[in-house]
Amino acid sequence: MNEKAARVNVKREETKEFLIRNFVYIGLVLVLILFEIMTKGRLLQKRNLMNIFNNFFLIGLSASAFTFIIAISELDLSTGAIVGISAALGALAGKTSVALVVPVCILTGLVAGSLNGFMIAKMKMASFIATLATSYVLKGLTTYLLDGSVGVDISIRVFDQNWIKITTLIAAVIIFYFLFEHCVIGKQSRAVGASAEAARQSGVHVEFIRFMPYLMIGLMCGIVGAFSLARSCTATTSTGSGFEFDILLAVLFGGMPLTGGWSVKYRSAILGSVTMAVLKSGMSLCGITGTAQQIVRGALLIIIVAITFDRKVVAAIK
Amino acid sequence: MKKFRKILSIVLCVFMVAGLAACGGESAAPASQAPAQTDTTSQQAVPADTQKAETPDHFVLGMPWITNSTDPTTNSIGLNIKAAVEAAGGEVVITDMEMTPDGQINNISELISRGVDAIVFMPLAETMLPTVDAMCSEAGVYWGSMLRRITDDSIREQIMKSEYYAGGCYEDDELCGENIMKKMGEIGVTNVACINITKGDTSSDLRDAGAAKGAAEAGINIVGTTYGILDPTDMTKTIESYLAAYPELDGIVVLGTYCGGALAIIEKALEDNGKAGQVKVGRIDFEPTMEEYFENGTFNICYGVQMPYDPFMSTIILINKVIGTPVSDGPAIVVTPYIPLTTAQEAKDVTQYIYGDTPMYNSEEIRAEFLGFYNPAVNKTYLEDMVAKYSVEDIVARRSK
Repeated sequence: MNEKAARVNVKREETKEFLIRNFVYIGLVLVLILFEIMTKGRLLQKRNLMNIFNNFFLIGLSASAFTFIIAISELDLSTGAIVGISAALGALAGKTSVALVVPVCILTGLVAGSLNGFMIAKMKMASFIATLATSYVLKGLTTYLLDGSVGVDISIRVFDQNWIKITTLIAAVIIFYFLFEHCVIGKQSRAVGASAEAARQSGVHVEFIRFMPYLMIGLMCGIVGAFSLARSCTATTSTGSGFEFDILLAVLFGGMPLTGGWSVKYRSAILGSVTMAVLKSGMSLCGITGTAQQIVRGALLIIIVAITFDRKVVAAIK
Repeated sequence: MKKFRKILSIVLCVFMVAGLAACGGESAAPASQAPAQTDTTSQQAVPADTQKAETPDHFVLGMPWITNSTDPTTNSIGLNIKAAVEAAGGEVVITDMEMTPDGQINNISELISRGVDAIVFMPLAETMLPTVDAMCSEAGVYWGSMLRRITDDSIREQIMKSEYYAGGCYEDDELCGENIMKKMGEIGVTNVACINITKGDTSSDLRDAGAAKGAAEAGINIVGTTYGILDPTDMTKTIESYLAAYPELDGIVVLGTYCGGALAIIEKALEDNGKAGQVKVGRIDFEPTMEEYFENGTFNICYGVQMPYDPFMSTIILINKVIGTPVSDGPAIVVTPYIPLTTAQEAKDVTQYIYGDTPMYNSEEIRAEFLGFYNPAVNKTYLEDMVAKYSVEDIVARRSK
């Protein structure tokens, strides 16, 4: 009798663990099915898939690089501001020649990312403070430079074609997946996130590993700035605003632990970004108001974090 | 377990790839093929000369709008647009408005994919309009703008050539900024602090320019302008900072803000600092608390009674185009004047009849007075006359029957 009860308990534990481990996958499938039913099949219609993709595209690009930031157990609150300044400088460069837009955006992103990386890796500043400060500086600079809004010639829309975006996204996903899961930098990032001191003593160049994710996210924000310009042909002081929270929400929706380290999985970034895009589109198609959408997103975030949060890791770090 | 995860990963990957492929496929479709659905609807809506239908064909109008607000202005705009569309036999689809230009482009894209026949929206930046026009033209969706003027000559020239741009209304923001400053000058204000929406917003920039002009004419010194306040706490801090930094301050003008309940916050800050009534307050755009402050004598002038009227009239122009009775050959641009408000009774009437739970015009009035399908006299000049006749008294007379 006792043996049978023990077996039932083990089975129950296994099921529980299975559900927790696969919660994000199951959640995404459930969200898809739920909204497909609620929208009477409109969610996965060919036309709406384009919207889901557009919602997913920019966040997915940045979330890919953001995985490295989370892996080293840091944050970046300046992504929105980097997108803004990249778009602003790109738009200003576009007044001279549209061909300059993309390189200027990317270069700006790299410079801003390097600045963050330098402050965090070299100057040992807390990432929260350093990136918040960068964010303020860049937003101020953007307002000063734009003095309103700057338009770019409509020919920039050539970059807003779906095949370009799809190719860019696939390339980014493959590169970042490979870097994170199969290259030294990915492994060392997680090692630094788990314990910087242990990683240092194992021969990891911690400063370099802390610097690189900021360079990567800067690069991706520059690309996002360029695509944002290509989409709206406009850079304004509001370009990129709130983007940092979109990325953070996306990775959290994907079940990525903010504690960093070895439990960070690259797939969380992509799954989270897709889940967010599907949720947004589904709720919009269902005619759910902005207020209700905020409540749903907040409630889901609490549920996901509560279920996927790796408490053992926290205990180990503390 | 790993196997299960792998299977799920494969399923999700297949979904994503299928999705991306579908997106790619859609993009590859030539523009001429894209508008098939909506174009047909629009063309069907045109009543034939020989066999005129009794009502226009059903159509869907999309609108990116703020759906998480209890602000009466926001709600009144939505209510009056819905009334106009439903009076014409249409249906309104609202998507939660994004507050960045590229986000707004996503809004437009989403509405197009939802198969709407027309889109009316408040552009956050005029530089995005060529993109919107390209998207709508490609999809065969008519569109209209509201509450914003196109100031850039090249953009205006490009948009005005569009077959799918119906036109829209804008308020003369520059004149309004000028007038409110002159009014402040008339009541003895000499040093004023301004609050405005954000740099880059067309209305905000124009109101700034007008205010500077009006202040120069009235001999008022603008001590500073603060932009982009969204949070009540920031509004309080801003007012308190101005009061502390400029003891000579005798006026505050809100040229525009997205901070909810801004006037109540300002009045509270003034009261807390013993300045209520001493510092004169003016505001562009209406707030329902104005009645109380007019009565107390702590609020002095408002311009903004026409706020729901501008989107209503913009929608009317668009509807007429969609149902096949365009008000002009090309896009129709109509200027809506700012109507001043100076008494508690006017504020009460505006709260009840213009920003209340009932649309300004009922279905019969909309059909008879604004839709060319029912009233052949409706054209651009006719609508301009209607705008000129618009007043609080007229709406009160209609709705208090």
